Amino acid sequence: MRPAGRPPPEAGLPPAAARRFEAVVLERAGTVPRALLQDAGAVGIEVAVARDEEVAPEVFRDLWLRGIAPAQVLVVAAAPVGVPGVVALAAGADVVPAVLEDQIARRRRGEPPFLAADPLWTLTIDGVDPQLARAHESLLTLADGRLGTRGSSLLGHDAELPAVVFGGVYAGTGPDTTLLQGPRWNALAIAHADHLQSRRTLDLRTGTLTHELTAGDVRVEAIALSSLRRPGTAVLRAHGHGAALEESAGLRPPQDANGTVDDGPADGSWLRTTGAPGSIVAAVDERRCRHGRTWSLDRIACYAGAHSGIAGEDLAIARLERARGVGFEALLDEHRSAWARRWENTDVVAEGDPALQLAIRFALFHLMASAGDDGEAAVGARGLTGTGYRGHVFWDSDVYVLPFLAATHPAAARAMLEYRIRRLPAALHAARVAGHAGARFPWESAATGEDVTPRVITSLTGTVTAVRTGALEEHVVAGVAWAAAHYADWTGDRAFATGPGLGLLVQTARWWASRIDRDDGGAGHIRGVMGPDEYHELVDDNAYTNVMARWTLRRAVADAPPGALDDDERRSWLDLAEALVDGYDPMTGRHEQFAGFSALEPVLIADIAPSRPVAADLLLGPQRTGASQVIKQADVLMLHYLVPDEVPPGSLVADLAHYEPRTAHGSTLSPGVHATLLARAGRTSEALELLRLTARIDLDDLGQTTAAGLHLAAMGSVWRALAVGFGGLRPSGGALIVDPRPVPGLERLELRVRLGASRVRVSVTADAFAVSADPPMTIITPGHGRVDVGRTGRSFDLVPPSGQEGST
Amino acid sequence: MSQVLAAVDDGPCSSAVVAGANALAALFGAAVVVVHVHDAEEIVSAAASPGVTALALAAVPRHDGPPREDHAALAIVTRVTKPGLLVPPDCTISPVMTRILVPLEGTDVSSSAIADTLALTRGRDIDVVVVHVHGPEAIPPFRDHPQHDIPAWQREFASRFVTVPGLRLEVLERVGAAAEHIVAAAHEVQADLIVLGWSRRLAPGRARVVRETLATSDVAVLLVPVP
Repeated sequence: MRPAGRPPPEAGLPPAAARRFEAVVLERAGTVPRALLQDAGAVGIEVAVARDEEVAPEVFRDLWLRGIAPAQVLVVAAAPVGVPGVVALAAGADVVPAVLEDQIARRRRGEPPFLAADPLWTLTIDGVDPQLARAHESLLTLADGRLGTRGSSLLGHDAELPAVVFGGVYAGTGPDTTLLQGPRWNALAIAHADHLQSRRTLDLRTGTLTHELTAGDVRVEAIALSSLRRPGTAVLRAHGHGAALEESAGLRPPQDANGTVDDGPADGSWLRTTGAPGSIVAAVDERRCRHGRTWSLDRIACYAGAHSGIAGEDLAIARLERARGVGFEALLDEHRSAWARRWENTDVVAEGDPALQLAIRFALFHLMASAGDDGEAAVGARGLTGTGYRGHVFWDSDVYVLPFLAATHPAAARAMLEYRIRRLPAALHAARVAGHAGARFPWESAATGEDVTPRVITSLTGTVTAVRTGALEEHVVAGVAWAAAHYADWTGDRAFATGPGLGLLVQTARWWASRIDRDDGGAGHIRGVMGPDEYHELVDDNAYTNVMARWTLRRAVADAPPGALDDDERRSWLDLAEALVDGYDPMTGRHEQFAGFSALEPVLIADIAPSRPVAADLLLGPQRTGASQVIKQADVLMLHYLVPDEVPPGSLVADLAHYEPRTAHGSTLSPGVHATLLARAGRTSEALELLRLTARIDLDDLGQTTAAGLHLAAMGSVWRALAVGFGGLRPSGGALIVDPRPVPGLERLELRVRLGASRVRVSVTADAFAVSADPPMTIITPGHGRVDVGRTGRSFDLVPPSGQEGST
Repeated sequence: MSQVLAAVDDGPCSSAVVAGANALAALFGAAVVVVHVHDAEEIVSAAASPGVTALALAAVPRHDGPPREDHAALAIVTRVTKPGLLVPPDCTISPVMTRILVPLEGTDVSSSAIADTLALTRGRDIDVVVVHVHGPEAIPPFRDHPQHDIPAWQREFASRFVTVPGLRLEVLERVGAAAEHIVAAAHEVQADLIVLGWSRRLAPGRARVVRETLATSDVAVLLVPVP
């Protein structure tokens, strides 16, 4: 309450101070009435004291770690505070009460936070472009690992495809299984809104989407979030003047419903969509207020999803009750604090290239937003950003997305593995049906774990063609095993490695053991498969598949504690691993992609297309493509990408030289893999070029399919190109190998990972690198061997790459 | 009521031209006006009438002989700012057009012009089949999984370039020579009509797809001027 006699809000304040701030920093608090400080705290205003310039950086760092940027801080001080970006009110303590009164009043009026769009952290879309509207919705998606909401405009547009999905909740069965669309929470109805100009800004750092709608003196501002702190909770605050907020139910049915809509009670307090087997229910609370010429709205929507059966509204309502009790300001505070903590441990800093920096953070943001921390995380190829790929889970999640999470936020990686663990029974069944042992994970997976790969497609020649990936891309089985081992290597999670992780390894090893044929000479073969290069459909002894099978057999034996495997099986697996052909030719120093590949028409991409990437099969037709050495994406090279210790030293350079010119990059998974390996091979300029390309796939909608959702695996490959390709980071027996390459043109690259319990930072410049770890740990770095590093860190000279880099 | 102008001479295609005009008029909710013309000037002049929505004429007028580069019918429609239905000599006109093939190159300008014409069919019981032919120089960069990417790409293409609401729509993609695939697709989907945008420029190197389509199509082609 404002005591009598105090000046009204805003009175006497300069224009720069006349807006909402998230924190007020004072020189000293002593003169501010205690009641006023309590009022400020009650509405969520952070009041901090920075007595001098020495203290100020710490205060601002604390605020930064809570997701509050300098531009959102008002400093009231007689002397200037040397923090760039802050609004400083050069005034004495006597003005502080007026400042706080004003800030309190703004909160009570329901003003949303002011966002200063930092070009290194924000993505802004002006207006609704009918051509790009759907792609923009994908780019601006808000997700919390469980709930995904496309970043549609608040007022809706005919060109848009708004959607809300809930991870792992599907409609339909078999190949028709598709992510179920849930009730929508993020629409407003404003009278006479047609003329309003809109601007949407996604703040990657705080996971918030800001909407501005303006026309003349009409102004509506809103902020939306999907709470990272309490997944499944969505929050919207809108505030406006000069335009009337129309009555509207807080929840709307899906625009493109693929389930039935249960309208719920007459007051619209909850709404459910049911798509058999899944169901999504949302409960909403909405508070509207008028404050003279302005109005405000706070909306909280809480979701519950059921993988099968009906999602009960009771759970959503209970979550809503809790969230309502917390209130908008605290929900915002805990959400942006959660994002700030995530970034603190995951950010990649690319100094000297603002465009690349934003693109990297954009990728990391969506990777983090797509997988939850608990239970199971079914991370589809497009994450929670759209219904493309029907939400099916591919090897993309195990091999491309998981590595980032395993090295930065293990809980999410563990949840992704839990998705596979819970579908192990279905994989065991699929193997039995196929007449083999062990576990056969499906190429495309959804709710049940059965294969949901579409069976046919109408090709571009107009003919109906069988889709053979489901039957032939068995390498996904190895991908699941690799993901489990990779997670264990980064985290040191013994309970997992000796428990469910071992189960994945052993059962996938059994699959491969039962798939290997021995010829008369005793050599082992895996026949009738498709490798990652899908231009060649039915091949024998695909090097990638065979070596990954070999790796799985050996790793399962190595990880199995005494007694976990009987001796016969153990010996048999090692024998099979030894016998399995891998296509490596010591004469050429490289692997043959599959038996007979070398005899195919030797076509280079430069011979047939002016540039890459290109879907070369469209250019050549499927017949000629299959009969040529043109390959869609990294295949042999995936061995160097995933299991470099399983290939002969030095073979990377030879394999790269041979296969890279034959690769069309017709898959979005390909350029990022090549960027990684080119960097390892010392070809850093080429690596950077492909890294940039990969990082722009969705931002520039290169394939014109971003409308259906973002290419999450490509985003994962962006991180890996930076961390593994340029950073040279790899776990090895509890230590971290650090073998960096400088990024051309970049002033500094900083990587943040977590190995076991240690938070590690690696900073790479043109001629040196530094590593710090908390708690201390051991790193292995060329030229220095094993070195212990701690919080204060150590610096090393960077040895220029030789260009003859083998597998590291 | 708007009109579709059937420009006939005393040639063998006249009845087909009238049939085409009737079918088009039914599609557009327009009336047919048959005019006997003797030269291009008469057609251009008649088509300029404000009430005329479109005109129909023989793809190969009697006096022209076989198709040539300076195709007379094309030369006429270059001078008309309204859609022109060119009826090939051996074409069978369905009295009720129910299936329309719309080749789209994927540009705003041409799509917008086509949209205006398609909007005239609103409320009719028709299927619209859009075909986009990727030239060798414009092959899409990525097709991760065709079973998912092809439908996704086609949905997005339709959203971007077919902005008329309420159409029953299908999208086809082909790769190669545009005219060849347009004519083949017309047969494949049993189209009654091909609706093709064009720039009304016949300078060398221009309107190649239009010329080649007209030269080989036995389905009537509605040329829609693109600004």
